[in-house]
Amino acid sequence: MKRRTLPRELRSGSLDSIFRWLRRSTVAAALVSLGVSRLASADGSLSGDAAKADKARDQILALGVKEARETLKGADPNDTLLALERGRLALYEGDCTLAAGLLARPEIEATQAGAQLGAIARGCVRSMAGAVVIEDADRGVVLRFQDDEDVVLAPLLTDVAQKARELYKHDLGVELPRPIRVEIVRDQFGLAAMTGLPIEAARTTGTIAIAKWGRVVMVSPRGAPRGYSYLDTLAHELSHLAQTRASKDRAPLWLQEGVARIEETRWRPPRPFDDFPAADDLAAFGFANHLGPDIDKIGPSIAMLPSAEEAQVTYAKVMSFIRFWSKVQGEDALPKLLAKMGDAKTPEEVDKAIEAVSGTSFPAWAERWQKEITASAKELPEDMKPGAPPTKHLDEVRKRVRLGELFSEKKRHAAAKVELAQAYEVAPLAVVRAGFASALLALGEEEKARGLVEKTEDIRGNDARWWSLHARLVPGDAERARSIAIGMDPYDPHVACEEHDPPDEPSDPIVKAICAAARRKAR
Amino acid sequence: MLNEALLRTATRLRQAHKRAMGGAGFAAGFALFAAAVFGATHLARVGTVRTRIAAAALVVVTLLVVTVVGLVRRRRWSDPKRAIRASVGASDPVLAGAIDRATSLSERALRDAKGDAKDDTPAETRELAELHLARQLGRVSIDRAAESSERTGRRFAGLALAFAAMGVAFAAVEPIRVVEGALVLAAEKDEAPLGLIYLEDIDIVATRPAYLQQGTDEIDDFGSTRQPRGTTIAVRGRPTRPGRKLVLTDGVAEEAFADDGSGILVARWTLGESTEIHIAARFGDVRIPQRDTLDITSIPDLAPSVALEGAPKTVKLIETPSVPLRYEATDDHGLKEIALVLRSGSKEERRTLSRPSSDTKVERGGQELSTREPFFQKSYVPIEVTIEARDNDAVLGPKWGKSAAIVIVPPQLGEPEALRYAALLQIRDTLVELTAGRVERDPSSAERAEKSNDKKSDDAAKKPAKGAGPETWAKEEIALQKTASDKVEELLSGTYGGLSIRGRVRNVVAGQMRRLQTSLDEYRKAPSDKTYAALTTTSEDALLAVDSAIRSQGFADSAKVSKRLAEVADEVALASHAWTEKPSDRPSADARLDAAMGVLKGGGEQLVKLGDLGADLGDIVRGGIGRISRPRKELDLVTSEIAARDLAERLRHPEGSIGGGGRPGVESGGAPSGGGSAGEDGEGASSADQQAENDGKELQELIKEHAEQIGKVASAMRKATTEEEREALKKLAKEQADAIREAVKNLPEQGMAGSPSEKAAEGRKHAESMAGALEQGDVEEAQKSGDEALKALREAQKRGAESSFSDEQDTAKDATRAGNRVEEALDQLRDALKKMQDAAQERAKEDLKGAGEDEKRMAERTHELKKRGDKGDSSMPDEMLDKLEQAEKAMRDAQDALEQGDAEKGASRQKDAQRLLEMAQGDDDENQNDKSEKGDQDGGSKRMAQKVPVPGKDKHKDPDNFRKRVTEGLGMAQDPRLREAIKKYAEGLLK
Repeated sequence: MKRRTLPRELRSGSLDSIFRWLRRSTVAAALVSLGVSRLASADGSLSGDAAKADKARDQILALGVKEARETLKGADPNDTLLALERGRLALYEGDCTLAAGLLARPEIEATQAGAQLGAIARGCVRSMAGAVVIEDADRGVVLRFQDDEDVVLAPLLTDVAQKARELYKHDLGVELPRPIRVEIVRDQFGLAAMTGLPIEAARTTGTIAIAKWGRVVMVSPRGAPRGYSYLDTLAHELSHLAQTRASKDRAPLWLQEGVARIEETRWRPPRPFDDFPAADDLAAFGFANHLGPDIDKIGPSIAMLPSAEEAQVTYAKVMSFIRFWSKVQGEDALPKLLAKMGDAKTPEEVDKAIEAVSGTSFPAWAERWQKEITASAKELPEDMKPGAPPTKHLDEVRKRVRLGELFSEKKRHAAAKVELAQAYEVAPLAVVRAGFASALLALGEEEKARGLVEKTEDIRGNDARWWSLHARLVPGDAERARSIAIGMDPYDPHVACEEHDPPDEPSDPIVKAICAAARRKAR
Repeated sequence: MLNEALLRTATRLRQAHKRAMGGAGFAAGFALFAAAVFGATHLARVGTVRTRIAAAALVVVTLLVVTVVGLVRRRRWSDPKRAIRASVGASDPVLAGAIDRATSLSERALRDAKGDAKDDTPAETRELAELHLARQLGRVSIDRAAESSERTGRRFAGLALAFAAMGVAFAAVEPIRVVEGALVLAAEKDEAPLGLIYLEDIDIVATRPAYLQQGTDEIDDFGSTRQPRGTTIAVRGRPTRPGRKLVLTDGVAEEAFADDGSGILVARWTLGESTEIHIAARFGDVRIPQRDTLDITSIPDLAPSVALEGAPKTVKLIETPSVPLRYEATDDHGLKEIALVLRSGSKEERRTLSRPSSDTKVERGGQELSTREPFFQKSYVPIEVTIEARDNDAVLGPKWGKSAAIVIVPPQLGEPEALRYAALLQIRDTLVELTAGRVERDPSSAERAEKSNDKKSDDAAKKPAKGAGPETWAKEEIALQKTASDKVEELLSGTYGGLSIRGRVRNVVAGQMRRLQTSLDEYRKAPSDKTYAALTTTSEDALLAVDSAIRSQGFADSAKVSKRLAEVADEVALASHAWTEKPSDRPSADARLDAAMGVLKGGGEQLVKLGDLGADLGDIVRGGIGRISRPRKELDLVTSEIAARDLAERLRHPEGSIGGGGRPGVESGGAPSGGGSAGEDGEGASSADQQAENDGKELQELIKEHAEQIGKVASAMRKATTEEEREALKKLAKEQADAIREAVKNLPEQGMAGSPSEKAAEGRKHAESMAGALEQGDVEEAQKSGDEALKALREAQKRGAESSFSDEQDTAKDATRAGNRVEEALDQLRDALKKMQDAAQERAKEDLKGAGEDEKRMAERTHELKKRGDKGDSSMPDEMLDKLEQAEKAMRDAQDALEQGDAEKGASRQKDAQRLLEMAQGDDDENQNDKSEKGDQDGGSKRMAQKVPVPGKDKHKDPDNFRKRVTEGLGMAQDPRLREAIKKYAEGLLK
């Protein structure tokens, strides 16, 4: 299981429920893939051709659904071990109804694996009933949208999937299966039902995407009031699938997350804040302040670390380590490492794969990397340090921003300008700049507005509206800025409609459709 | 050509035969036919199909036989050769043969002569043949032939005689039977073409249905009559021809006549539809009617007619606080029941409004349907409201008459909440306008804006008009604020689809308006830039406080509406299931689906108007409708059902799409959104709503703890009273109760208005209540009843003294005696109680002192609460602050009294304080009401749905809990001033 989480939420998280789920799914699945345990047969209640079932399961877990289909061809319907694998295969192929039917046999439901797969299949049937499927056979992508309004995002998502497939061939030495299956659900309830992640855990940790069961399940940006980087998230999750395929689902968590963090932005040209604050600097900060565990001692999930700060540092560490190792070993090292892990016969071989590929042990690499980044790291700005207290003006900023919004909604732009100017004075954040610039624009003060959204150096993070206004007021950088903005919050009408007021609309047909959907969305 | 001799001989023989036979042959044939006809009528009279066919066949066959025989004989005698053969052959067969041969020879010779022969025949041969024939004919004896014919004639005559005798026999037994038989035989469609008389001296009596109470009438004659439906028509008469089965029939149904024992036949006909009845005799399948018919026009018992004022019409519930129903029901014979009927989709509810006495033909009434009517709350599709009346028709069964309908269109699900939310947004917009003006005019704001923007701004703030001084500004601000306050007040007092603005959001809005007024007053007292800046800041804070409370209300309303929409989604799932399950039910399932989908769509559209959460959930509803509709179009209702269940499940969890404030966890895409914590969407902009919630909780806690405090004082007093004292008081109370009952037993139970008896009866009632209270140990209540009794008895005494009637004077004397006894009892009780309380107070001095200290702490908490509500984001409305102040004062009084050991005064002031605290709390928060309603649904209603006896007051613990729930429930009246009274009333009821 690979999922996107909100580390800072962990402090109040229901860790028990997460752990229970992880114990049932990830850990068990990992063990299965390593051949340490055979869940179904271990239950002892299923019977049949165990060797064939094991082979099919290995093929499925490595996303080799075509091979698994061949293996299971002509399977005896009375063979319950093979029936379980047929159910699993159906789930990986996106046929949840068939999977639910196959897994509903009492003797299969009585097993731990059967019960878990059955629950996922049923959740998938329920969540995807009446969903809209968009298939791009040429590019090998199948998108299933719980909400038909999200269909407007299909061209963007397909584009990312195609680029990711090409990218991972080179970066990870593996080609994602055809088709790539992406399920866009409307909310975390759908995500939970489709993946088996307890809803409480999803809500506590802010999980919005999971790569599991041979597909990516992600929440539509429609569900987030200010959107999120859903295209990068898709690339991130697809990299998990690619690693699963390359390593036959044996890649350890630090490798999975480190690689995913690097790969999530490589499908597109680099952008500001892709590595901000820099992972190396954050990792060095972690070492200096003894924050976060060693990367090979993370446990079942980074999201389960005791604090949001530790999670933030640990994400940075795994990313920094993989980048360092890849840089030293060359660009073909990562594909070799994943392949080596895929060929491993025992867990020990997995642990020693890095040594087998590079000739140096993992502890030696870790030591070398730590020295390197500690020496080269720059000091983090105070406000970017993990666990830094919020600005002392936070309450004031919140108050002024809200007043600015209220005045702007009622077209009292002059009053809004006064409030947002005060917020900007104490906290010139991207969101404040965007609001302020918007009020100024409404008052016809375009030059002043441009000054607020002109330079990326002025801001410390992305804000869709800032980029949208940047696109409008800085024509030279419009295309890139629009792309960033729409990749974050496609359902903000200002962003989606390129700052046009109705009935004006963008000229690009894809963006035009997104703009129309954004305007239709209730708010 | 025949030989002439032959012809002559034949002619002579025929004439001789005719003379000899006379008319014997014809007579025999006719007699046979007549006998057959008479016989056939008897057979036909049996009346069955077979016998009628057999009779007809007999007549026809006989006729045919007779005719054929006659024709054969006639033909025989008209042929010369056959005539000679028959006549001669009967007496001399040899000669007859010889004649035949001679005739043949002669004919052959004649043919040859004409050239017919193959070879030539000489002429001599022909002559010889004729000669031979002539000789043979010459041997014929006419006399012998005549003799033979005479014998034959005699035989036919004998047959004719026999047949005639048979016919006479058939007819002579009962000639009318032949007629009846003939009529039966001639019947068409089992009804004879002609009638006969079977019944004479006929009486016809009509008896109306008993429920009409119209008795019996004689009908003079056949002809026509009008009778109520259900009338019994009795026909009596003397039979003219015994032995016939007579019936009374309308041509279809029939009632048989029966002998009443005196030779009179009677049949009874119960009238249904209008008809013609007649008497008939039944022969097998055939009826022979008697010619008279009775044409009866049936007067139906009409269904009641109901007129509903204003109907038909359509009423939108959202626009109407209540629907008045005024009706008039009429019936031709009598009304039995009037009912109010509410129908919505497949649901129907019928409520009896009245059950008039049986002879009531007109009933008028009125009814008021409130928008809070539970049926309306459960209905999401239009409701048809009718008044229906049932008559007392005992014949066909009661019939319902129905008024035209008033169609009540319920609001879309969530529409009232959306309307109220829109009103709240108007309040916010009013404050936005007020505040924006101040921000724009405030010089300090302009400076700040300019500073932030590095350059001078000309229009960031509107400067006051040239020459306008602070006083002018103040006047303008006062006017602007008054306009805003009036509008806010108007919106606060409005009703929106039956919902009003109350609870926390109301307190916050009203409190912030007071805060604004205070700030404006300060500015008015000393107008300056500084005080204007303060006013601007207060306006900003007040706006944010109101905004925060409104958003909170929107959140709560969204959750509530979402849960109700979940039920509608369940209905969609059930209808989809029904569609799949039973193909025969598809039309009704389709109708159900359409209705539920309409409600779901409308509800979703309202939901999006309820703020952020509502917009999110409403968007999910829209998406869910798409997921249900798409497979439905392809007739895949199984998938529709699954999608509907998924939507229902989602709506039962009315939370945002993404947890943690809607912000997803971000591992990718660089740094988190720049400003994720900058308060977008109003988060954290004001703590007013949170503070209001905390203050509400604090007040609630205060009320609860103070109630316990009151209990502690009572408990302390109880504890300080010894068992002996309580027993002594109990004993005294019992004695006094017996004495009072004895004293009032002779007093009247009722009396004329204004008489001494009236007051004496009243006094008796109160005195008995006093006795009852004493028996239950409730001395306090007994004192109150006693005072009332004494007052009434003294009035009776006074009226008696003024009366000149001796019986009234006697009553007055009884009342005086009883009054004296009640007064005596009251004095004794007061003395005993005072002694006991004095002693108890002395013993409980320490406890009371402690209670006083506790009361002091309560007063301080109340003071703190009031202080917090006096200013800032926690500002409370004036009336709430007043009540808190008064409550604090009452607590301090109670504290003083308790510390001085005055338990009675202390307890009294404690109760005052409690009442004031409850009044400060005002109307309950709607969301809390919802919770309690849900609680009822979860548990309460289940308990109350079972028919169980109300437990006695001294049984087990559950009865105590039951009483507690009832008293608490009734004690939660809207007007806090009435709570105590209602609670006591409820307690009394339960005892």
